[in-house]
Amino acid sequence: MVRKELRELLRDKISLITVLLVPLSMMLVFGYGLKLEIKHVPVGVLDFDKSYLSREIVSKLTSNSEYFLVRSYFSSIEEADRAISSGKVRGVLVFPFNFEGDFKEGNGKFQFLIDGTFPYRAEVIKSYVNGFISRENLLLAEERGFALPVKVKTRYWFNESLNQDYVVAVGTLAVVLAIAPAVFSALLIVKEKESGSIYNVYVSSIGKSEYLLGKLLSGFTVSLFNLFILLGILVFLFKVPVKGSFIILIFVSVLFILVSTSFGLLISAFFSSQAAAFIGTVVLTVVPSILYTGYITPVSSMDKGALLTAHLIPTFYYMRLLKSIVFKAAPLSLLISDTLTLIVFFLLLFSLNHMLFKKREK
Amino acid sequence: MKPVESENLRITYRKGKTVAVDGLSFSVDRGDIFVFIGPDGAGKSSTFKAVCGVLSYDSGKLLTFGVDPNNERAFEPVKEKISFMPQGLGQNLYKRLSVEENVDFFADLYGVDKEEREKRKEFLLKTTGLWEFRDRPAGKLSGGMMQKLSLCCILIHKPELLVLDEPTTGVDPVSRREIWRLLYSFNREGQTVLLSTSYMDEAERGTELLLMKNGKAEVSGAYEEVVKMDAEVFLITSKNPFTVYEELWKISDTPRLKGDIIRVVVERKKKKEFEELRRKLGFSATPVEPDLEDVFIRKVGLRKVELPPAFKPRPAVPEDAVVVEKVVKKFGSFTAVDGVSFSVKRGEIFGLLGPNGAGKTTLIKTILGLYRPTSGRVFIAGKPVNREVKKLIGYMSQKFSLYQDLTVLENLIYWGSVYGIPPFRVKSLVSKVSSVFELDRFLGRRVSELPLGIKQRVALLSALVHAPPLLFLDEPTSGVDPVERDIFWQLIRGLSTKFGITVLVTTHYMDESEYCDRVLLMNRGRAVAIDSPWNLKKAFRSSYGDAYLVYTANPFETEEKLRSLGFKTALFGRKVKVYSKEPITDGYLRKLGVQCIAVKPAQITMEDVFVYRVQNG
Repeated sequence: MVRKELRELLRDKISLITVLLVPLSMMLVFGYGLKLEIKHVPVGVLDFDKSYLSREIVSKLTSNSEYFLVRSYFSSIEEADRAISSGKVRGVLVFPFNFEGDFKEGNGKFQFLIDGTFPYRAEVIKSYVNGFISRENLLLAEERGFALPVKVKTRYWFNESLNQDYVVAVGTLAVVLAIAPAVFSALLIVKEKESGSIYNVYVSSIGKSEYLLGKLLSGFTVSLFNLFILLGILVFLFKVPVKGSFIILIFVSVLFILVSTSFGLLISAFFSSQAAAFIGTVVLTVVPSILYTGYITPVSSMDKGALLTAHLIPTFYYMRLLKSIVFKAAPLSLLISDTLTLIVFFLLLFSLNHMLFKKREK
Repeated sequence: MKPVESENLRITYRKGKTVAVDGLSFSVDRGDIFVFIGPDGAGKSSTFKAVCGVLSYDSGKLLTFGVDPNNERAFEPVKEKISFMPQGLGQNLYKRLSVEENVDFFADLYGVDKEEREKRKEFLLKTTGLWEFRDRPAGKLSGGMMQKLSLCCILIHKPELLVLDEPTTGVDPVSRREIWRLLYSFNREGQTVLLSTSYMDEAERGTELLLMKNGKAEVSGAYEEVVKMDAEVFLITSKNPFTVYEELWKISDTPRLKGDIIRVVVERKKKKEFEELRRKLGFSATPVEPDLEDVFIRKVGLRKVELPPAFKPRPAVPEDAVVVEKVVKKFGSFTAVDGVSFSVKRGEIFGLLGPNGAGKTTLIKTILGLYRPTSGRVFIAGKPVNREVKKLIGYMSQKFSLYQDLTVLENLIYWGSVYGIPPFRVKSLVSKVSSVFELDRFLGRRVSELPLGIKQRVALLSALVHAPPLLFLDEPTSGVDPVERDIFWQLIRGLSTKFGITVLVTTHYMDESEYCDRVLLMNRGRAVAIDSPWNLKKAFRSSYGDAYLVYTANPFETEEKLRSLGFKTALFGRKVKVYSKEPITDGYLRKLGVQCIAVKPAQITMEDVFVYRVQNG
């Protein structure tokens, strides 16, 4: 069974390329293309004060970080407005008349106009500015001799340099492994339904579990091959430092491939054409894997309903495992419950397959 | 225990909305070659799937080797004894695996051990002539070879019952005979065969037949029993076939005009009137053995169709309506059409006849200007094909170019507007002809709800709305029953004789060609013969003689003996078809040392013509 599948696959150049190339390109496109970080925001300055202090703030905000870039200086509100509307700048710093004077009286206020067309970006810009201001305030307060009751010193643990690229790359691995094996295995059975060769199986006395295991293993073998390529990309191309054990990493990945392969097989029970099965699988894997697993939105910021949904999706557990292994080198004891959950998922999906696969048409 | 027994079997789809099989009873004995015959959608496939336990039936009784196939668990062991071949060319094969790997996979599927497998594989592939192609991918075999490979695959585990769903449809006649021969040789070893076909002329090849229509059995039994009738069948030739044809309707509802030949069933009580007619009109009538089509048509009754003068084509075309000169069409290294030349006269019904893959559709598309020929030229109405010329053509494609979700009238109006015919003109045409096409009741119905025969007439009418002088029909009648088919051909005949419309039609039904004035036999891209069906048969007769069926207990031995005596032969179930210039009787054959029970005259069919034309180059 497995031998036949692999042989067929090797003969079919186009499928072969698709099977290997699609996960690869997904990994590269998402890994490189999906930047959740916002850097080099173009801003403009509208300085009515033209004081030492206003220039000091502008230079501190821009020269010292990679977050902001001063594009232009405006002389009127209208000009600033036009620049924001046309997208030339994403934000404008507005210093009112007598800003320095007010500041000295302890009442310094300036305005930061943010382009709100893309709320996520606006939020991030806002937080940058806020962070900057509070840091400056603290420094000023100390300068003026106030003793601060609590001092905050932030250091990012686990991903010390806060490299968002690493997080995205690891997340992408999880998403790709949720989608590709499922799609491939969904097509394995549907392909036979479409061509009519499924009748060979229906009419033969081969057992259901034997047939399904055969399909599972052939889907699994191909995906295993993919896994190694993807891990290679992760380590050598994205240069993600893996802190935990490689063996554990591979073990949970293999387990996860089994889960998504059996999910794909399960889907094929409901479709009879390859096109429908393909779209069905993509929709059912892509959407939950991206939205509910902490790939884009952190799980902790989800509301209760979303959190519940997240716990029903195997990718959620795998994502958590991956991050723990890669970034934290978490000890086995902490990984065991998620691993067990994946095993349960696999057993559940496979027995569902066994229940739903009928050796007949209706 | 009988291999298959069924009583009042009922199978429905879509929760009972579509009834596929409606109260079917039959039983297959061990060693039978049981043939199901019927048009598409008659319920043959559903019945077979239920027999194999692949499809659940709704009610009635069905036992395969004494076990109810609906009982999944109990039926599982029975599957060891069955092999099922689904409909379609090479459907159960893995196209990218080689011939040998396909056979091996099936052996694994049924757990055949290696030594046994190798032995049997060699035997099967050698008998089917596939041994030398064993490394070729299955997808690169011809249609006939694919079907033979399918057979090898399902025979690898020595099943007791072979269930074959249309194994010969679209296969060329030479391969078709080989497939039958293969089946006979396994049947001889005691295997039971249950087989379906949409070709009426294959009825005689089984030991038992069942003619199915709309989920029910029309007739069933041994062929000889089924075609026995207390009426006579005549082939009539005359100088005025149309007059004779018109007159015959007065005494029978079975006359069929095929080319210049009329075939009619004459009831006992009408015999006197028939003789009077013969004297009055002076035609010659040859009595022939009734066949299955006669039985079916006599049972259902034909309807006479009279075309109103509504299709007068606007521009007239020259005498040579379509001229094809040495057309070659290659796709890469594959030559689909290989130097075909012919010309079609105005008002002629011209048939392109050949198996799937012979190049018929490629040729018709090249003529229509959809493909540019690799070399050679095509003229339609005296001009090379261009946009203006295309307006002269009505085209009815293989799958009927109809919009399933539009009503019949909406479809017709749509096709009118494609050719710039305003809706009111289409409506006035429809009002004149809808009763003749028997579409009155259906004009407001969606096409998707219509039976195949009606769809076919809608498609024909939609190809005719712009009154074209040329009509191209690509496999127009596949899958409709003989009565619907005759109505269709009466319409075509009327268009040709009344309005001088030229008709070019493709078909893989050998017997269908008899409705054509002339046919071009095609095989593997080449023209094998071109003439009227009548002349082709006459030429066959003058080189091989008349056909006889020899009834015998041991068909294989009888056939071998006949061959060794220099006769041309073909196996037909438990009979042997022999061609001989000398009259043959049973006494004569016994004297020659041939075992036989009886000898009856048989008809020369277009298949005979085709096979010998192909084999003799």
